Amino acid sequence: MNDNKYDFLNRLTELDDYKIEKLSEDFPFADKSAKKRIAKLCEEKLDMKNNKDEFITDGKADKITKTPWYRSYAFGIAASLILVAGFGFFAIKGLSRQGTKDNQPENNDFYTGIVTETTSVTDTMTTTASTTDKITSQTTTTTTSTKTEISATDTAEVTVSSTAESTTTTTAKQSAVHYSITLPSDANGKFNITFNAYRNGNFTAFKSKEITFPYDQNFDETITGEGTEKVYVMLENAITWDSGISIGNYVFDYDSGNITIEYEDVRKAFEDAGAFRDYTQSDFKRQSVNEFMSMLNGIRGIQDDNTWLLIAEQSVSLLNWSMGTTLTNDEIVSAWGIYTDNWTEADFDSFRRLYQLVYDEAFNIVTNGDGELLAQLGYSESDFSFVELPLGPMETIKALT
Amino acid sequence: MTDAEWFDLIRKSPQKAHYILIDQYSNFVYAIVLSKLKGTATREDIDDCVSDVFVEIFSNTDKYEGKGPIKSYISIIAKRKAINTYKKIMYSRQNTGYIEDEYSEIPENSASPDTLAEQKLFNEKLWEIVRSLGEPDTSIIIYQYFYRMKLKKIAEKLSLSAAAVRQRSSRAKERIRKKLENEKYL
Repeated sequence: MNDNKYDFLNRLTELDDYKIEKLSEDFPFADKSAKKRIAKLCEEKLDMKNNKDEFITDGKADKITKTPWYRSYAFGIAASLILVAGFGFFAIKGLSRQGTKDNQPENNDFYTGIVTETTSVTDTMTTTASTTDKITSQTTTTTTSTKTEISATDTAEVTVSSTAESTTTTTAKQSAVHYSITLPSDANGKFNITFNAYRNGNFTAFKSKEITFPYDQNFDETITGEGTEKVYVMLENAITWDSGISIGNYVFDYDSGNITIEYEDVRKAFEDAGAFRDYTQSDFKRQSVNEFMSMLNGIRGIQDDNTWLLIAEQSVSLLNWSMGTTLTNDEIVSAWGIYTDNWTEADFDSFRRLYQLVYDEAFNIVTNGDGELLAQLGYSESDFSFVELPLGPMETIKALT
Repeated sequence: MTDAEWFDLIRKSPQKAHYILIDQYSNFVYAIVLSKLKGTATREDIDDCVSDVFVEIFSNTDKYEGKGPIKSYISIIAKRKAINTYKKIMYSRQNTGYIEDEYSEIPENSASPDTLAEQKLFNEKLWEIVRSLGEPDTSIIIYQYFYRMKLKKIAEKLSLSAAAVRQRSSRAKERIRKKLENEKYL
Protein backbone atom coordinates (compact mmCIF):
# COMPACT_ATOMS: atom_id res chain seq x y z
CA MET A 1 0.00 0.00 0.00
CA ASN A 2 2.87 2.31 0.70
CA ASP A 3 4.67 1.31 -2.43
CA ASN A 4 5.49 4.56 -4.24
CA LYS A 5 4.92 2.84 -7.51
CA TYR A 6 1.23 2.81 -6.75
CA ASP A 7 0.90 6.18 -5.03
CA PHE A 8 -1.53 7.26 -7.71
CA LEU A 9 -4.09 4.97 -6.11
CA ASN A 10 -4.28 7.36 -3.16
CA ARG A 11 -6.15 9.65 -5.49
CA LEU A 12 -9.13 7.36 -5.25
CA THR A 13 -10.19 9.57 -2.35
CA GLU A 14 -10.55 12.52 -4.70
CA LEU A 15 -13.81 11.37 -6.16
CA ASP A 16 -16.70 13.72 -6.74
CA ASP A 17 -19.80 13.68 -4.56
CA TYR A 18 -21.81 11.49 -6.84
CA LYS A 19 -19.15 8.78 -6.99
CA ILE A 20 -18.60 8.88 -3.24
CA GLU A 21 -22.30 8.38 -2.74
CA LYS A 22 -22.31 5.47 -5.19
CA LEU A 23 -19.22 4.00 -3.62
CA SER A 24 -20.77 4.13 -0.18
CA GLU A 25 -23.71 2.11 -1.49
CA ASP A 26 -21.77 -0.42 -3.54
CA PHE A 27 -18.87 -0.86 -1.11
CA PRO A 28 -20.30 -0.23 2.35
CA PHE A 29 -17.78 0.45 5.07
CA ALA A 30 -19.77 0.39 8.28
CA ASP A 31 -20.62 -3.03 9.61
CA LYS A 32 -23.00 -3.63 12.48
CA SER A 33 -20.36 -3.04 15.13
CA ALA A 34 -19.35 0.27 13.57
CA LYS A 35 -22.95 1.42 13.54
CA LYS A 36 -23.31 0.44 17.19
CA ARG A 37 -20.19 2.41 18.08
CA ILE A 38 -21.56 5.47 16.30
CA ALA A 39 -24.94 5.14 17.98
CA LYS A 40 -23.29 4.89 21.38
CA LEU A 41 -21.07 7.87 20.75
CA CYS A 42 -24.07 9.88 19.60
CA GLU A 43 -25.98 9.05 22.75
CA GLU A 44 -23.07 10.12 24.92
CA LYS A 45 -22.59 13.34 23.04
CA LEU A 46 -26.27 14.19 23.05
CA ASP A 47 -26.44 13.57 26.80
CA MET A 48 -23.43 15.77 27.36
CA LYS A 49 -24.79 18.44 25.11
CA ASN A 50 -28.23 18.42 26.67
CA ASN A 51 -26.94 18.46 30.24
CA LYS A 52 -24.48 21.18 29.45
CA ASP A 53 -27.07 23.38 27.87
CA GLU A 54 -29.63 22.54 30.54
CA PHE A 55 -31.80 21.59 27.70
CA ILE A 56 -33.57 18.99 29.72
CA THR A 57 -33.29 17.14 32.93
CA ASP A 58 -35.37 14.09 32.36
CA GLY A 59 -37.31 14.87 29.23
CA LYS A 60 -34.93 14.90 26.35
CA ALA A 61 -37.56 13.56 24.07
CA ASP A 62 -39.95 16.35 25.01
CA LYS A 63 -37.44 18.96 24.13
CA ILE A 64 -36.54 17.39 20.89
CA THR A 65 -40.14 16.79 20.10
CA LYS A 66 -41.94 19.97 20.97
CA THR A 67 -39.66 22.65 19.75
CA PRO A 68 -39.35 21.38 16.24
CA TRP A 69 -43.03 20.64 16.09
CA TYR A 70 -44.14 24.14 17.01
CA ARG A 71 -41.47 25.72 14.92
CA SER A 72 -42.34 23.56 12.00
CA TYR A 73 -45.97 24.43 12.43
CA ALA A 74 -45.18 28.12 12.50
CA PHE A 75 -42.93 27.69 9.54
CA GLY A 76 -45.69 25.92 7.71
CA ILE A 77 -48.13 28.73 8.36
CA ALA A 78 -45.61 31.34 7.32
CA ALA A 79 -44.73 29.43 4.20
CA SER A 80 -48.39 29.04 3.34
CA LEU A 81 -48.99 32.77 3.75
CA ILE A 82 -46.00 33.57 1.59
CA LEU A 83 -47.17 31.12 -0.98
CA VAL A 84 -50.64 32.59 -1.06
CA ALA A 85 -49.64 36.25 -0.92
CA GLY A 86 -46.32 36.34 -2.58
CA PHE A 87 -46.22 33.55 -4.99
CA GLY A 88 -49.81 33.50 -6.00
CA PHE A 89 -48.54 35.10 -9.13
CA PHE A 90 -47.93 31.75 -10.68
CA ALA A 91 -51.49 30.75 -10.03
CA ILE A 92 -52.74 34.12 -11.19
CA LYS A 93 -50.77 33.70 -14.33
CA GLY A 94 -52.40 30.38 -14.95
CA LEU A 95 -55.87 31.70 -14.22
CA SER A 96 -55.27 34.76 -16.27
CA ARG A 97 -54.26 32.63 -19.17
CA GLN A 98 -57.46 30.66 -18.93
CA GLY A 99 -59.66 33.59 -18.13
CA THR A 100 -58.53 35.84 -20.89
CA LYS A 101 -58.30 33.27 -23.55
CA ASP A 102 -61.71 33.92 -25.00
CA ASN A 103 -61.08 37.61 -25.23
CA GLN A 104 -57.79 37.28 -26.96
CA PRO A 105 -57.18 37.06 -30.63
CA GLU A 106 -56.37 33.64 -31.92
CA ASN A 107 -52.82 32.53 -31.62
CA ASN A 108 -52.29 32.71 -35.30
CA ASP A 109 -52.85 36.46 -35.19
CA PHE A 110 -49.49 36.57 -33.53
CA TYR A 111 -47.98 33.64 -35.24
CA THR A 112 -45.04 35.01 -36.99
CA GLY A 113 -41.87 33.56 -38.17
CA ILE A 114 -39.46 35.32 -40.01
CA VAL A 115 -37.10 34.78 -41.95
CA THR A 116 -35.59 36.79 -44.51
CA GLU A 117 -35.45 40.26 -45.84
CA THR A 118 -38.43 41.95 -47.36
CA THR A 119 -39.07 41.93 -51.02
CA SER A 120 -42.47 43.37 -51.69
CA VAL A 121 -45.70 44.25 -49.94
CA THR A 122 -47.74 42.77 -52.68
CA ASP A 123 -46.26 39.37 -52.22
CA THR A 124 -47.04 39.52 -48.55
CA MET A 125 -50.62 40.45 -49.01
CA THR A 126 -51.24 37.71 -51.47
CA THR A 127 -49.80 34.95 -49.40
CA THR A 128 -51.27 35.84 -46.04
CA ALA A 129 -54.84 34.83 -46.66
CA SER A 130 -54.02 31.53 -48.14
CA THR A 131 -51.87 30.35 -45.30
CA THR A 132 -54.08 30.90 -42.26
CA ASP A 133 -55.12 27.28 -42.07
CA LYS A 134 -51.55 26.18 -42.12
CA ILE A 135 -50.73 28.44 -39.23
CA THR A 136 -53.51 27.11 -37.08
CA SER A 137 -52.52 23.61 -37.76
CA GLN A 138 -48.91 24.26 -36.93
CA THR A 139 -49.74 26.12 -33.75
CA THR A 140 -51.70 23.31 -32.29
CA THR A 141 -49.39 20.53 -33.27
CA THR A 142 -46.16 22.47 -32.96
CA THR A 143 -44.67 20.57 -35.78
CA THR A 144 -41.69 21.83 -37.63
CA SER A 145 -42.16 23.75 -40.79
CA THR A 146 -40.51 26.51 -42.66
CA LYS A 147 -42.16 29.89 -42.81
CA THR A 148 -41.41 33.15 -44.38
CA GLU A 149 -42.58 36.56 -43.31
CA ILE A 150 -42.28 39.43 -45.65
CA SER A 151 -43.03 42.78 -44.15
CA ALA A 152 -42.62 46.20 -45.54
CA THR A 153 -44.31 48.71 -43.31
CA ASP A 154 -44.76 49.35 -39.61
CA THR A 155 -47.81 47.16 -39.69
CA ALA A 156 -46.30 43.78 -39.93
CA GLU A 157 -47.91 41.12 -41.98
CA VAL A 158 -47.52 37.46 -41.47
CA THR A 159 -47.16 34.94 -44.14
CA VAL A 160 -46.45 31.31 -44.15
CA SER A 161 -45.33 29.42 -47.12
CA SER A 162 -43.70 26.20 -47.95
CA THR A 163 -39.97 25.83 -48.08
CA ALA A 164 -40.00 26.04 -51.80
CA GLU A 165 -42.07 29.21 -51.71
CA SER A 166 -39.82 30.90 -49.24
CA THR A 167 -36.90 30.16 -51.43
CA THR A 168 -38.46 31.91 -54.30
CA THR A 169 -39.94 34.87 -52.51
CA THR A 170 -37.07 35.96 -50.35
CA THR A 171 -33.77 37.53 -50.90
CA ALA A 172 -31.66 36.15 -48.14
CA LYS A 173 -28.65 38.01 -46.86
CA GLN A 174 -25.59 35.84 -46.67
CA SER A 175 -24.71 34.65 -43.14
CA ALA A 176 -27.61 36.42 -41.52
CA VAL A 177 -31.27 35.93 -40.80
CA HIS A 178 -33.86 38.56 -40.19
CA TYR A 179 -36.04 37.78 -37.24
CA SER A 180 -39.29 39.61 -36.80
CA ILE A 181 -42.41 39.20 -34.74
CA THR A 182 -45.55 41.23 -34.40
CA LEU A 183 -45.97 42.37 -30.85
CA PRO A 184 -49.36 42.22 -29.12
CA SER A 185 -50.98 45.62 -29.52
CA ASP A 186 -52.70 45.45 -26.13
CA ALA A 187 -49.58 44.66 -24.13
CA ASN A 188 -48.00 47.02 -21.67
CA GLY A 189 -44.71 47.23 -19.86
CA LYS A 190 -41.07 46.87 -20.71
CA PHE A 191 -39.46 43.64 -21.83
CA ASN A 192 -36.20 42.16 -23.00
CA ILE A 193 -36.05 39.68 -25.84
CA THR A 194 -32.99 37.48 -25.78
CA PHE A 195 -31.59 35.07 -28.34
CA ASN A 196 -30.06 31.94 -26.88
CA ALA A 197 -28.33 28.96 -28.39
CA TYR A 198 -26.10 26.09 -27.47
CA ARG A 199 -22.64 27.10 -28.45
CA ASN A 200 -19.74 24.83 -27.67
CA GLY A 201 -22.18 22.67 -25.81
CA ASN A 202 -23.36 25.44 -23.52
CA PHE A 203 -26.52 27.46 -23.43
CA THR A 204 -25.62 31.05 -24.22
CA ALA A 205 -27.58 34.27 -24.52
CA PHE A 206 -25.90 35.88 -27.50
CA LYS A 207 -28.15 38.83 -28.19
CA SER A 208 -30.68 40.87 -26.26
CA LYS A 209 -32.89 43.83 -27.09
CA GLU A 210 -35.34 45.88 -25.04
CA ILE A 211 -38.86 46.69 -26.17
CA THR A 212 -41.31 49.11 -24.58
CA PHE A 213 -45.05 49.25 -25.00
CA PRO A 214 -46.89 51.04 -26.47
CA TYR A 215 -44.00 52.46 -28.50
CA ASP A 216 -42.86 49.23 -30.06
CA GLN A 217 -45.31 47.43 -32.26
CA ASN A 218 -42.94 45.09 -34.02
CA PHE A 219 -39.70 43.47 -33.19
CA ASP A 220 -37.13 43.18 -35.95
CA GLU A 221 -33.61 42.03 -35.54
CA THR A 222 -30.94 40.88 -37.94
CA ILE A 223 -28.86 38.09 -36.53
CA THR A 224 -25.56 37.17 -38.07
CA GLY A 225 -23.96 33.79 -37.85
CA GLU A 226 -22.66 30.81 -39.72
CA GLY A 227 -24.25 27.61 -40.92
CA THR A 228 -27.35 26.60 -38.98
CA GLU A 229 -28.11 26.61 -35.30
CA LYS A 230 -31.08 26.11 -33.05
CA VAL A 231 -32.06 29.36 -31.39
CA TYR A 232 -34.31 29.82 -28.38
CA VAL A 233 -35.89 33.24 -28.21
CA MET A 234 -36.80 34.16 -24.66
CA LEU A 235 -38.76 36.94 -23.06
CA GLU A 236 -38.03 38.76 -19.82
CA ASN A 237 -40.21 41.30 -18.07
CA ALA A 238 -37.95 44.24 -17.30
CA ILE A 239 -40.28 45.47 -14.56
CA THR A 240 -41.04 42.33 -12.64
CA TRP A 241 -37.93 40.50 -13.86
CA ASP A 242 -40.05 37.56 -14.77
CA SER A 243 -37.77 35.73 -17.15
CA GLY A 244 -37.02 32.48 -18.92
CA ILE A 245 -40.26 32.67 -20.92
CA SER A 246 -40.10 31.10 -24.33
CA ILE A 247 -41.29 33.01 -27.37
CA GLY A 248 -40.20 30.26 -29.69
CA ASN A 249 -37.62 27.73 -30.76
CA TYR A 250 -36.17 28.12 -34.23
CA VAL A 251 -33.50 26.81 -36.51
CA PHE A 252 -31.61 29.73 -38.02
CA ASP A 253 -30.02 28.93 -41.34
CA TYR A 254 -27.67 31.87 -41.67
CA ASP A 255 -26.42 30.86 -45.08
CA SER A 256 -29.81 30.75 -46.72
CA GLY A 257 -31.41 33.35 -44.46
CA ASN A 258 -34.27 31.02 -43.62
CA ILE A 259 -35.73 30.38 -40.22
CA THR A 260 -37.47 27.13 -39.42
CA ILE A 261 -39.96 27.45 -36.64
CA GLU A 262 -40.17 24.50 -34.30
CA TYR A 263 -42.35 26.23 -31.77
CA GLU A 264 -43.63 29.75 -31.42
CA ASP A 265 -46.32 31.45 -29.41
CA VAL A 266 -45.70 35.16 -29.06
CA ARG A 267 -48.90 36.04 -27.31
CA LYS A 268 -48.62 33.30 -24.75
CA ALA A 269 -45.09 34.43 -23.99
CA PHE A 270 -46.21 37.99 -23.32
CA GLU A 271 -49.15 36.71 -21.38
CA ASP A 272 -46.84 34.62 -19.22
CA ALA A 273 -44.55 37.59 -18.81
CA GLY A 274 -47.42 39.64 -17.41
CA ALA A 275 -47.91 42.01 -20.33
CA PHE A 276 -51.69 41.96 -20.01
CA ARG A 277 -52.15 42.51 -16.33
CA ASP A 278 -51.88 45.21 -13.73
CA TYR A 279 -48.88 44.87 -11.50
CA THR A 280 -49.61 43.93 -7.92
CA GLN A 281 -47.78 44.07 -4.65
CA SER A 282 -46.64 40.53 -5.16
CA ASP A 283 -44.44 41.72 -8.00
CA PHE A 284 -41.62 42.19 -5.55
CA LYS A 285 -41.33 38.44 -5.56
CA ARG A 286 -40.48 38.53 -9.22
CA GLN A 287 -37.21 40.17 -8.37
CA SER A 288 -36.26 37.08 -6.42
CA VAL A 289 -37.40 34.85 -9.24
CA ASN A 290 -35.37 36.87 -11.68
CA GLU A 291 -32.29 36.57 -9.52
CA PHE A 292 -32.85 32.85 -9.42
CA MET A 293 -33.21 32.59 -13.17
CA SER A 294 -30.27 34.88 -13.82
CA MET A 295 -28.17 32.64 -11.64
CA LEU A 296 -29.38 29.59 -13.59
CA ASN A 297 -28.65 31.39 -16.87
CA GLY A 298 -25.15 32.05 -15.62
CA ILE A 299 -24.57 28.38 -14.98
CA ARG A 300 -25.99 27.47 -18.37
CA GLY A 301 -23.70 30.05 -19.91
CA ILE A 302 -20.51 28.28 -18.85
CA GLN A 303 -18.74 27.89 -22.15
CA ASP A 304 -15.94 25.58 -21.25
CA ASP A 305 -16.45 23.33 -18.27
CA ASN A 306 -12.73 22.75 -18.05
CA THR A 307 -12.14 26.38 -17.21
CA TRP A 308 -12.07 26.45 -13.51
CA LEU A 309 -12.35 30.22 -13.12
CA LEU A 310 -15.66 30.32 -15.01
CA ILE A 311 -16.99 27.59 -12.79
CA ALA A 312 -15.69 29.37 -9.71
CA GLU A 313 -17.44 32.59 -10.74
CA GLN A 314 -20.73 30.80 -11.09
CA SER A 315 -20.11 29.01 -7.82
CA VAL A 316 -19.80 32.34 -6.06
CA SER A 317 -22.93 33.48 -7.84
CA LEU A 318 -24.70 30.36 -6.60
CA LEU A 319 -23.49 30.93 -3.05
CA ASN A 320 -24.55 34.57 -3.19
CA TRP A 321 -27.94 33.62 -4.43
CA SER A 322 -28.33 30.81 -1.92
CA MET A 323 -27.50 33.16 0.91
CA GLY A 324 -29.63 36.05 -0.27
CA THR A 325 -32.70 34.58 -1.88
CA THR A 326 -36.06 35.16 -0.28
CA LEU A 327 -37.65 32.35 -2.22
CA THR A 328 -38.99 29.49 -0.20
CA ASN A 329 -38.34 25.92 -1.13
CA ASP A 330 -41.73 25.61 -2.82
CA GLU A 331 -41.22 28.85 -4.69
CA ILE A 332 -37.90 27.62 -6.02
CA VAL A 333 -39.59 24.46 -7.18
CA SER A 334 -42.32 26.48 -8.94
CA ALA A 335 -39.85 28.85 -10.57
CA TRP A 336 -37.75 25.92 -11.67
CA GLY A 337 -40.80 24.37 -13.29
CA ILE A 338 -41.42 27.53 -15.28
CA TYR A 339 -37.78 27.94 -16.18
CA THR A 340 -37.48 24.42 -17.49
CA ASP A 341 -40.89 24.25 -19.07
CA ASN A 342 -39.63 23.75 -22.61
CA TRP A 343 -36.48 21.84 -21.79
CA THR A 344 -35.59 18.67 -23.57
CA GLU A 345 -33.77 15.77 -21.95
CA ALA A 346 -30.58 17.12 -23.47
CA ASP A 347 -31.19 20.46 -21.76
CA PHE A 348 -31.61 18.74 -18.42
CA ASP A 349 -28.54 16.58 -18.95
CA SER A 350 -26.44 19.58 -19.86
CA PHE A 351 -27.63 21.57 -16.87
CA ARG A 352 -27.19 18.65 -14.49
CA ARG A 353 -23.58 18.28 -15.55
CA LEU A 354 -22.81 21.98 -15.24
CA TYR A 355 -24.62 22.35 -11.95
CA GLN A 356 -22.66 19.49 -10.42
CA LEU A 357 -19.41 21.25 -11.36
CA VAL A 358 -20.59 24.55 -9.93
CA TYR A 359 -22.03 22.92 -6.84
CA ASP A 360 -18.84 21.01 -6.10
CA GLU A 361 -16.75 24.11 -6.61
CA ALA A 362 -19.01 26.10 -4.29
CA PHE A 363 -18.20 23.65 -1.53
CA ASN A 364 -14.54 23.74 -2.37
CA ILE A 365 -14.56 27.50 -2.09
CA VAL A 366 -16.37 27.57 1.18
CA THR A 367 -14.66 24.64 2.81
CA ASN A 368 -11.33 25.86 1.61
CA GLY A 369 -12.01 29.36 2.89
CA ASP A 370 -10.31 30.58 -0.23
CA GLY A 371 -10.29 34.24 0.72
CA GLU A 372 -8.10 35.38 -2.12
CA LEU A 373 -10.32 33.82 -4.72
CA LEU A 374 -13.46 35.16 -3.12
CA ALA A 375 -11.95 38.63 -2.98
CA GLN A 376 -11.00 38.39 -6.66
CA LEU A 377 -14.55 37.46 -7.49
CA GLY A 378 -15.88 40.37 -5.50
CA TYR A 379 -16.90 38.48 -2.45
CA SER A 380 -15.63 39.04 1.04
CA GLU A 381 -14.41 35.96 2.80
CA SER A 382 -15.89 37.22 6.02
CA ASP A 383 -19.34 36.95 4.48
CA PHE A 384 -19.01 33.21 4.47
CA SER A 385 -19.67 31.40 7.64
CA PHE A 386 -20.13 27.80 6.75
CA VAL A 387 -22.07 27.06 9.87
CA GLU A 388 -24.61 29.76 9.13
CA LEU A 389 -24.62 29.39 5.40
CA PRO A 390 -28.19 28.65 4.29
CA LEU A 391 -27.48 25.95 1.77
CA GLY A 392 -31.06 24.78 1.44
CA PRO A 393 -31.70 26.61 -1.85
CA MET A 394 -28.58 25.07 -3.40
CA GLU A 395 -29.68 21.66 -2.26
CA THR A 396 -33.17 22.21 -3.58
CA ILE A 397 -31.80 22.83 -7.07
CA LYS A 398 -29.57 19.81 -6.79
CA ALA A 399 -32.56 17.71 -5.86
CA LEU A 400 -34.51 19.13 -8.79
CA THR A 401 -31.79 18.29 -11.28
CA MET B 1 -38.01 5.64 5.13
CA THR B 2 -38.67 9.04 3.61
CA ASP B 3 -37.39 12.27 5.13
CA ALA B 4 -40.91 13.28 6.15
CA GLU B 5 -41.47 9.95 7.88
CA TRP B 6 -38.17 10.30 9.68
CA PHE B 7 -38.94 13.79 10.94
CA ASP B 8 -42.28 12.51 12.08
CA LEU B 9 -40.64 9.63 13.89
CA ILE B 10 -38.12 11.78 15.71
CA ARG B 11 -40.98 13.58 17.41
CA LYS B 12 -42.52 10.35 18.55
CA SER B 13 -39.47 8.26 19.26
CA PRO B 14 -36.21 10.18 19.05
CA GLN B 15 -33.94 7.30 19.94
CA LYS B 16 -35.45 5.03 17.34
CA ALA B 17 -35.15 7.79 14.78
CA HIS B 18 -31.49 8.20 15.69
CA TYR B 19 -30.76 4.53 15.14
CA ILE B 20 -32.59 4.50 11.85
CA LEU B 21 -30.69 7.49 10.51
CA ILE B 22 -27.38 6.00 11.61
CA ASP B 23 -28.27 2.71 10.00
CA GLN B 24 -29.35 4.39 6.80
CA TYR B 25 -26.56 6.90 6.35
CA SER B 26 -23.49 5.75 8.25
CA ASN B 27 -21.90 4.24 5.14
CA PHE B 28 -22.45 7.49 3.30
CA VAL B 29 -20.96 9.54 6.14
CA TYR B 30 -17.99 7.24 6.54
CA ALA B 31 -17.26 7.49 2.83
CA ILE B 32 -17.29 11.29 2.90
CA VAL B 33 -15.27 11.55 6.08
CA LEU B 34 -12.66 9.04 4.95
CA SER B 35 -12.29 10.74 1.58
CA LYS B 36 -11.46 14.01 3.33
CA LEU B 37 -9.21 12.59 6.03
CA LYS B 38 -7.08 10.74 3.49
CA GLY B 39 -5.62 8.24 5.89
CA THR B 40 -4.49 10.79 8.46
CA ALA B 41 -6.87 9.82 11.24
CA THR B 42 -7.15 6.97 13.70
CA ARG B 43 -10.27 4.87 13.95
CA GLU B 44 -11.25 6.85 17.08
CA ASP B 45 -10.87 10.13 15.23
CA ILE B 46 -12.98 8.83 12.38
CA ASP B 47 -15.73 7.50 14.64
CA ASP B 48 -15.68 10.75 16.59
CA CYS B 49 -16.10 12.72 13.39
CA VAL B 50 -18.86 10.50 12.03
CA SER B 51 -20.79 10.65 15.30
CA ASP B 52 -20.42 14.45 15.33
CA VAL B 53 -22.22 14.56 12.01
CA PHE B 54 -25.22 12.69 13.35
CA VAL B 55 -25.25 14.64 16.60
CA GLU B 56 -25.46 17.86 14.65
CA ILE B 57 -28.43 16.55 12.69
CA PHE B 58 -30.17 15.20 15.80
CA SER B 59 -29.64 18.46 17.67
CA ASN B 60 -30.99 20.65 14.90
CA THR B 61 -33.88 18.79 13.36
CA ASP B 62 -35.98 21.94 13.29
CA LYS B 63 -33.27 23.63 11.27
CA TYR B 64 -33.28 21.02 8.56
CA GLU B 65 -36.88 19.88 8.35
CA GLY B 66 -38.63 20.85 5.16
CA LYS B 67 -35.63 22.64 3.75
CA GLY B 68 -34.30 20.07 1.36
CA PRO B 69 -33.31 16.43 1.36
CA ILE B 70 -31.75 15.37 4.66
CA LYS B 71 -29.12 13.46 2.73
CA SER B 72 -27.83 16.72 1.32
CA TYR B 73 -27.46 18.20 4.78
CA ILE B 74 -25.71 15.09 5.99
CA SER B 75 -23.30 15.41 3.09
CA ILE B 76 -22.59 19.06 3.83
CA ILE B 77 -22.11 18.53 7.52
CA ALA B 78 -19.94 15.46 6.97
CA LYS B 79 -17.61 17.43 4.71
CA ARG B 80 -17.36 20.29 7.17
CA LYS B 81 -16.76 18.03 10.15
CA ALA B 82 -14.19 15.98 8.28
CA ILE B 83 -12.24 19.05 7.27
CA ASN B 84 -12.32 20.37 10.83
CA THR B 85 -11.07 17.01 12.06
CA TYR B 86 -8.32 17.06 9.50
CA LYS B 87 -7.25 20.52 10.59
CA LYS B 88 -7.21 19.46 14.22
CA ILE B 89 -5.09 16.44 13.40
CA MET B 90 -2.63 18.45 11.35
CA TYR B 91 -2.48 21.11 14.03
CA SER B 92 -1.73 18.64 16.79
CA ARG B 93 0.89 16.90 14.66
CA GLN B 94 2.74 20.07 13.87
CA ASN B 95 2.26 21.29 17.43
CA THR B 96 3.54 24.72 16.49
CA GLY B 97 0.44 26.78 16.79
CA TYR B 98 0.78 27.61 13.14
CA ILE B 99 -0.39 25.58 10.22
CA GLU B 100 1.69 26.34 7.21
CA ASP B 101 -0.99 25.34 4.76
CA GLU B 102 -4.22 25.40 6.59
CA TYR B 103 -6.16 24.17 3.61
CA SER B 104 -3.79 21.55 2.40
CA GLU B 105 -6.49 18.92 2.37
CA ILE B 106 -7.68 20.26 -0.95
CA PRO B 107 -4.47 21.09 -2.76
CA GLU B 108 -6.23 21.32 -6.10
CA ASN B 109 -7.28 24.89 -5.52
CA SER B 110 -3.70 26.06 -5.57
CA ALA B 111 -3.16 24.39 -8.92
CA SER B 112 -3.63 26.00 -12.29
CA PRO B 113 -6.89 25.44 -14.15
CA ASP B 114 -5.09 23.18 -16.61
CA THR B 115 -3.68 21.08 -13.80
CA LEU B 116 -7.08 20.91 -12.19
CA ALA B 117 -8.61 19.67 -15.40
CA GLU B 118 -5.88 17.06 -15.78
CA GLN B 119 -6.33 15.90 -12.21
CA LYS B 120 -10.03 15.58 -12.74
CA LEU B 121 -9.58 13.57 -15.92
CA PHE B 122 -7.07 11.34 -14.20
CA ASN B 123 -9.40 10.72 -11.28
CA GLU B 124 -12.23 9.88 -13.66
CA LYS B 125 -10.08 7.42 -15.53
CA LEU B 126 -8.73 5.87 -12.35
CA TRP B 127 -12.25 5.34 -11.07
CA GLU B 128 -13.32 3.85 -14.37
CA ILE B 129 -10.42 1.39 -14.40
CA VAL B 130 -10.92 0.36 -10.78
CA ARG B 131 -14.59 -0.27 -11.41
CA SER B 132 -13.74 -2.36 -14.47
CA LEU B 133 -11.43 -4.71 -12.58
CA GLY B 134 -14.24 -7.03 -11.58
CA GLU B 135 -14.92 -8.54 -8.19
CA PRO B 136 -13.38 -9.10 -5.75
CA ASP B 137 -10.49 -6.97 -7.08
CA THR B 138 -12.53 -3.76 -7.27
CA SER B 139 -13.62 -4.18 -3.66
CA ILE B 140 -10.08 -4.96 -2.53
CA ILE B 141 -8.65 -1.82 -4.12
CA ILE B 142 -11.46 0.40 -2.85
CA TYR B 143 -11.28 -0.91 0.71
CA GLN B 144 -7.52 -0.69 0.61
CA TYR B 145 -7.08 2.74 -0.92
CA PHE B 146 -10.31 4.59 -0.33
CA TYR B 147 -11.22 3.28 3.10
CA ARG B 148 -7.60 2.58 4.08
CA MET B 149 -8.45 -0.78 5.57
CA LYS B 150 -5.75 -3.28 6.38
CA LEU B 151 -5.49 -6.37 4.22
CA LYS B 152 -6.47 -8.58 7.13
CA LYS B 153 -9.67 -6.63 7.67
CA ILE B 154 -10.43 -6.68 3.97
CA ALA B 155 -9.93 -10.44 3.96
CA GLU B 156 -12.44 -10.80 6.81
CA LYS B 157 -14.93 -8.53 5.10
CA LEU B 158 -14.72 -10.34 1.77
CA SER B 159 -14.40 -13.83 3.28
CA LEU B 160 -11.05 -14.41 1.63
CA SER B 161 -7.69 -15.40 3.04
CA ALA B 162 -5.25 -12.61 3.77
CA ALA B 163 -2.78 -14.15 1.33
CA ALA B 164 -5.35 -14.18 -1.44
CA VAL B 165 -6.21 -10.56 -0.80
CA ARG B 166 -2.54 -9.58 -0.85
CA GLN B 167 -1.95 -11.42 -4.10
CA ARG B 168 -5.05 -10.09 -5.78
CA SER B 169 -4.24 -6.58 -4.63
CA SER B 170 -0.76 -6.75 -6.14
CA ARG B 171 -2.04 -8.00 -9.45
CA ALA B 172 -4.89 -5.51 -9.54
CA LYS B 173 -2.58 -2.59 -8.82
CA GLU B 174 -0.30 -3.65 -11.63
CA ARG B 175 -3.22 -3.97 -14.01
CA ILE B 176 -4.39 -0.49 -13.12
CA ARG B 177 -0.92 0.96 -13.57
CA LYS B 178 -0.51 -0.67 -16.98
CA LYS B 179 -3.90 0.53 -18.17
CA LEU B 180 -3.10 4.07 -17.09
CA GLU B 181 0.25 3.87 -18.83
CA ASN B 182 -1.29 2.51 -22.01
CA GLU B 183 -3.69 5.40 -22.09
CA LYS B 184 -0.88 7.87 -21.38
CA TYR B 185 -2.16 8.89 -17.98
CA LEU B 186 1.10 7.91 -16.32
